[in-house]
Amino acid sequence: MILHDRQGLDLTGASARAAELFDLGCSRFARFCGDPIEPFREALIDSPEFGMALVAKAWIYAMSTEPQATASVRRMVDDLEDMPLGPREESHVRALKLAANTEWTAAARALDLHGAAYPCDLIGLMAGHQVDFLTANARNLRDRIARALPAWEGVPGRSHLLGMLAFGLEEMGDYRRAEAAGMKALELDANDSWAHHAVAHVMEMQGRAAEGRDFILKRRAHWAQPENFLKVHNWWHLALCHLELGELDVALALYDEEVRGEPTTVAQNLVDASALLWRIHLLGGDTGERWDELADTWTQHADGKCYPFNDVHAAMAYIGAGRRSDATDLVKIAHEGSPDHEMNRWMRETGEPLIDGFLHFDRGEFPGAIEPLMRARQIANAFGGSHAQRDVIDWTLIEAALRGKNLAVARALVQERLALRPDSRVNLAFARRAGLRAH
Amino acid sequence: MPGFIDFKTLERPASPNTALLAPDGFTPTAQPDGAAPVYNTAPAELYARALNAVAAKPNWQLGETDDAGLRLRFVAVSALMRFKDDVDLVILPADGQPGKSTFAAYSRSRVGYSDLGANRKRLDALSGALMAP
Repeated sequence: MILHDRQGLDLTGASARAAELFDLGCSRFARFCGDPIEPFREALIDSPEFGMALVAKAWIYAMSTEPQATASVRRMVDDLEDMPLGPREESHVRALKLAANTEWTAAARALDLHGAAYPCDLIGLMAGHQVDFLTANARNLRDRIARALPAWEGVPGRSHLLGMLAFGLEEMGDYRRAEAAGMKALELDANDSWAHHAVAHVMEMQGRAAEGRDFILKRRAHWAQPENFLKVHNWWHLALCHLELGELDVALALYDEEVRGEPTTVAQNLVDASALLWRIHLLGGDTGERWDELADTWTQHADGKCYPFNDVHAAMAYIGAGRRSDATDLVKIAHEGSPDHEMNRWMRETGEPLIDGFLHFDRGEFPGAIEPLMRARQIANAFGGSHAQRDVIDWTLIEAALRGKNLAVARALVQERLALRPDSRVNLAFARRAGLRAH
Repeated sequence: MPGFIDFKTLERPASPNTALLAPDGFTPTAQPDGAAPVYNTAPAELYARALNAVAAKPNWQLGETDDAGLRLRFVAVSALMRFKDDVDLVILPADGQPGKSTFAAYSRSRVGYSDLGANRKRLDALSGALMAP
């Protein structure tokens, strides 16, 4: 007898216990809380031919964007091909093969088709949503979920879709609807860390720093649990609020106590650390020897091949630690690879000018930093991250224009920011330095 | 990590995220899940095997050691998420059996409510690894 998951889809090869473990793993993945790998691993021990358990495990490994984990995904795909699979699993494997080769845009397309056939496949939607994030595909962050949502009326887990929809709406600049969807998701499931983070993004993008700070802190019991694997990112969001409020010392304390409080080696946590420390550095904060630890930790993931968004954040740490050649080596590696491969293209088209701009900035060659950063900053459908994460590029660019006394560029860029966040303390400080009269 | 745990005063939490192997009566304040095997080797040799077993596992990180007391601690790091579990181990002479030994070990998760049996499996794996000279 074929069992079903909570959404009613077939779980080929699963025993009753394995099906329960599968739902537990999905729930942990959806909330970003608790180890999601362990239930899938246990399910596979119980039911070795349970394809969806291995599919789910493989997607989580793929989402890590870490080279060793990506190699593991390739092995898992091989194992899946030796298993008796149903059509749902076969559809996943088609997408997973592309993800395992870090052809992320093609993987997203495969998951688009998968979602059309299986709109209530939670793993398919969550994987697709994360792939859309990895490819900075704001439209699909919203629309992948919008396509599936009508099929979820009365289906368990619908609140997770609202959380994902909230993030997609936020990345599309539809802040009012994003906040409403995110708050509805939290009303239905207070521990949905992704939904919480989507609302934090809205407040960040609207410059509601004090409100964002209070929202994040008030809800910390729901996202800062020790086993929450989005907690570092949410601490990062809190630190951004404090930076916006001019509280550099608090942001630095959060870096020490939370962002790097436990010196994790998870790549996504290192991204947050690099991005925060770089901002603190731009604002004149004393980063001390923090870059050294961060750069050392990055060496195990930054390979110039797997995911350029990570590599650029590694390069920021290398530059901060005075290891400029390690930063340029990442670009060289991309040039050694095939230009047909998507990650090499992203590195050449986006990663390289960003690293080049950061290097110029670090050397005090501010005019030289402007052109590459201007060229690379308008990222869409490639390279990855959220608007909030990529904002570090614009900060650096404006600093380069101000320090390089290119007031025309500085003023233009500051006006761009003021149009979106006219009350932002950071933007107003930029405006003053650029000689602009803000409201 | 703070110092070695005291097996004599060990108390286990209600949450199902720990495992304890110990001879009868060795942990008067904590109910073991079972006893470790008795090995046909002297305690010092079993301690050396334990050090080797920890070193052989890439996701087991050796912490504090006490060569005189035949005690060690290690951290087991989970795949991908890198959640950490702490393990305390002490090698013991097997009562009344010269040249034989056993151990007590306590493995517990730092985070999460249920470990889905991971700590027990780790101690079982350790028991097996100590069989090999």
